[in-house]
Amino acid sequence: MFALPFSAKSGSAGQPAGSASPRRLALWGVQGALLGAFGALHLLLAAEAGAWQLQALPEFYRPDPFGGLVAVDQVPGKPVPDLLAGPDGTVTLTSPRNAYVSCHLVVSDPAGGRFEVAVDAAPGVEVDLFREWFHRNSEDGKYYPDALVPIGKGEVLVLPDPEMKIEGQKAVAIWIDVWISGKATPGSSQLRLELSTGGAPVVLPIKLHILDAVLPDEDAITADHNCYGVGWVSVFFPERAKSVTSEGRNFTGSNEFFKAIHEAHRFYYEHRGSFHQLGTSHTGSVSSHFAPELTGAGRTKRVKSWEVFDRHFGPLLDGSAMAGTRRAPRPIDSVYLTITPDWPASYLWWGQRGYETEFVRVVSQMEQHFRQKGWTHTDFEMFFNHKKRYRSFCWDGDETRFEKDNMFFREFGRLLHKAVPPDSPVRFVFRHDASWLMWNQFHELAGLVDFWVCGSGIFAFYPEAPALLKARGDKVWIYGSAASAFETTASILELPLKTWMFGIDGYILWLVTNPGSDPWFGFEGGKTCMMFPGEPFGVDGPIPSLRLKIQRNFLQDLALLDVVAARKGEDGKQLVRTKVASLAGGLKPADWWNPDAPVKKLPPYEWSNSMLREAAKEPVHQRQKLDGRWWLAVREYALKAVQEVSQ
Amino acid sequence: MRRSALIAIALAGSMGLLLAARGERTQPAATTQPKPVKTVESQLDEVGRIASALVDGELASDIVTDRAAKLMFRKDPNDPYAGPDNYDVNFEPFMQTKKLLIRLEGLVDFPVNCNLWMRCKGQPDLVHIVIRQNPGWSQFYTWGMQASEPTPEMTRVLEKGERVFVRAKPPRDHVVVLAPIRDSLGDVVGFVEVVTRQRALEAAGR
Repeated sequence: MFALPFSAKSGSAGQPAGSASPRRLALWGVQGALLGAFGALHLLLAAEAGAWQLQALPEFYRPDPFGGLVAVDQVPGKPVPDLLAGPDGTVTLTSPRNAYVSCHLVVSDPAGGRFEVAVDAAPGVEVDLFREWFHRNSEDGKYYPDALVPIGKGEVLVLPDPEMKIEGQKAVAIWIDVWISGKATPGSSQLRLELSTGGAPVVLPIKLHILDAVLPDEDAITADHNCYGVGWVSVFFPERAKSVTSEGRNFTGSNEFFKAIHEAHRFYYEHRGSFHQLGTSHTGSVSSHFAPELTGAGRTKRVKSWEVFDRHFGPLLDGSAMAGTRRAPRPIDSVYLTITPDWPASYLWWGQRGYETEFVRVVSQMEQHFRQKGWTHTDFEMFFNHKKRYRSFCWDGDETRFEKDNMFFREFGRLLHKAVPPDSPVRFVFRHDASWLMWNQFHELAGLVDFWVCGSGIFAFYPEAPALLKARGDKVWIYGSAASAFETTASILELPLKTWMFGIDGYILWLVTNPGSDPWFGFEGGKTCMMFPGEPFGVDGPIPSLRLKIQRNFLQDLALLDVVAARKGEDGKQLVRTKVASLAGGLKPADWWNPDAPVKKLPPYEWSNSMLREAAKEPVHQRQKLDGRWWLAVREYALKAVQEVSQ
Repeated sequence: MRRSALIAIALAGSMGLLLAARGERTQPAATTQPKPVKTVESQLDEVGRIASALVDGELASDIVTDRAAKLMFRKDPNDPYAGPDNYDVNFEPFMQTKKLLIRLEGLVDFPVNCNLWMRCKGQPDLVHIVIRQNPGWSQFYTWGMQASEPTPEMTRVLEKGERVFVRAKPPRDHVVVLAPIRDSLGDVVGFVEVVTRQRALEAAGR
């Protein structure tokens, strides 16, 4: 059994006189059940608790601090989906095993006060509760929940929340994550939510319908989260940094520092994602935290020390950093190398024998080291992030625009092939992040670049691309920004869904570690962050965003849909994609592509951003009509279908 | 990479090597007497003097393509990134000059960057950085900068053709010499920013 707190104490401080009458815990809003992650969530409820009220909401419908819903999550004229009311008022959550199921709970009371909540669950089921932080959008003056602050065992919550300082706050929102392990017993189980407000406890039973099906550990697509350098560590762990520094030690070389990096990797892994840290700059410099130490020049250039590199990457590459998560530990999927035009070979020698000698000697040593360590489950990426606009090099390593620059990729491809033995078990890949010139490069750099990370808008111009690239074994991702917390929750699904509809391998959010200078009272929406610092709340690690939770649940849905597709035979994936699109008001998978963009008639170096925006308008507008209701229907389909194929 | 291009770039680099070596030969011959310790300022100034002698302003003027120079200043309210998106350079003058600048950085026993700044083609009242060195030190460049009006120090270099010493005000810690470069007509078309940082000097024991 597992217990967590969550409560409300009637008669506690802050409660006005005259509220002594028996309090009544009531479900408002929609009557009955709610649709939660993985299926029908039937709500329920009732108990005597005075004026305290409890509302359960599907994850796509976010509460606000005044007892209402976030307006952008609703389609005008359409109410929140009717929730399937159980006759006995019981909430039912349905889920496969090895998966999470989630929903919002809204606790409200006109007078406010203190409360606690506790949860009991059956073996194999664990529950995490989070207080949803309401961030004010300065543009519209409205509040949106995003940061999720873990609720500790026995923790007393207060309404209105003294930390959030929201005038007129009437409701506290709680995110419930129910983890159903792979070892949980299929069938019906029960969660017991107990709300205390000082008087008699109020019990809210939730029925868990646990399916036979076990969600695979492998995801349908990779959800990657990117950042640059290590500056974010001090932003997320200022107290830890201060503590180390106060002992006279250098934080950025300390074990505590690398532990913080490992925690971030584990954090995203727990959310069915991965984490990428670029350790190079536009000028070609490399961070000492990411690169082995080199010595010598020309024919004597070599790795001098692996000490820092191994401390940083060893636990990530052997998977030990992922121990203690709810997923089986495993090595990270991919990692940037620190190869730049000026590392490991000096750019002074570009085009001369010395460049090749220095490059091949050091990269060969890397291959040997990785092989000896058994780091053979991770893609080691040779990736160039520089652009000529930053004035350090004469070619674009990232988002190439001019065809003439391809010559540098050819040369680096040749050097990599020379450095790495053809039968090496170490997975070196040549990654290129492509946009304007991608179609040209798919052909010109075939056999050299084997990992493409593509701008999603331009990639949609080429429906032929996935087949072309996948046929030769290339890995293909698209990139974009995180959805803003100030947009509809359906926008969180945009990039992962596009990835899945395209039939490619993954996507990357280009920056996820910058919550802004004041994420609590000056939040800008979070397009550059998916996690928040936990230290202000006494949490020694990052804390999640609501968007990350919704993304994780969506990735579970996609994995489940792939299970269904696999049972439907050779065309299974296309059949399931077609079904999913049709549930979106009659769309087709082809609606995610944009093959007739007029801009394609011009050479890519003449494309402007306004032309590209114009080209993207039509298909984007079609999909913008979608809301959470649509995906809840898809989820119901997935749950039903997986039960059928399991039988 | 095509072999012809590689050879051309290698030749360009070798030329830079020869020129730089010639510059080094102007140093006084070693003696058995202890060397007087040169100040950082005097060493930066010496690198600047050599840069003015060796960097070919005519060649450097060919680095930015004519198309990029033209589009750099196109105003498009719907596309604020049109300038940077279209920025482009000619490989050979870029590589030849960059390699020479890397060599100039090796003339002192502490870390420096030698960045190349040029007057903008078509808008000579503005300047922009054309070659930025590793690890990217500069007193004047800010991330994403495309072009800017010259600072008073830059104006002095461009108008009078003098080397100018600049020490940044704290909290910045750059120590800089700006050295003019000239084209075949003798006009000052840009300058080299020879720059180090106080923290790098301290790490190097200076």
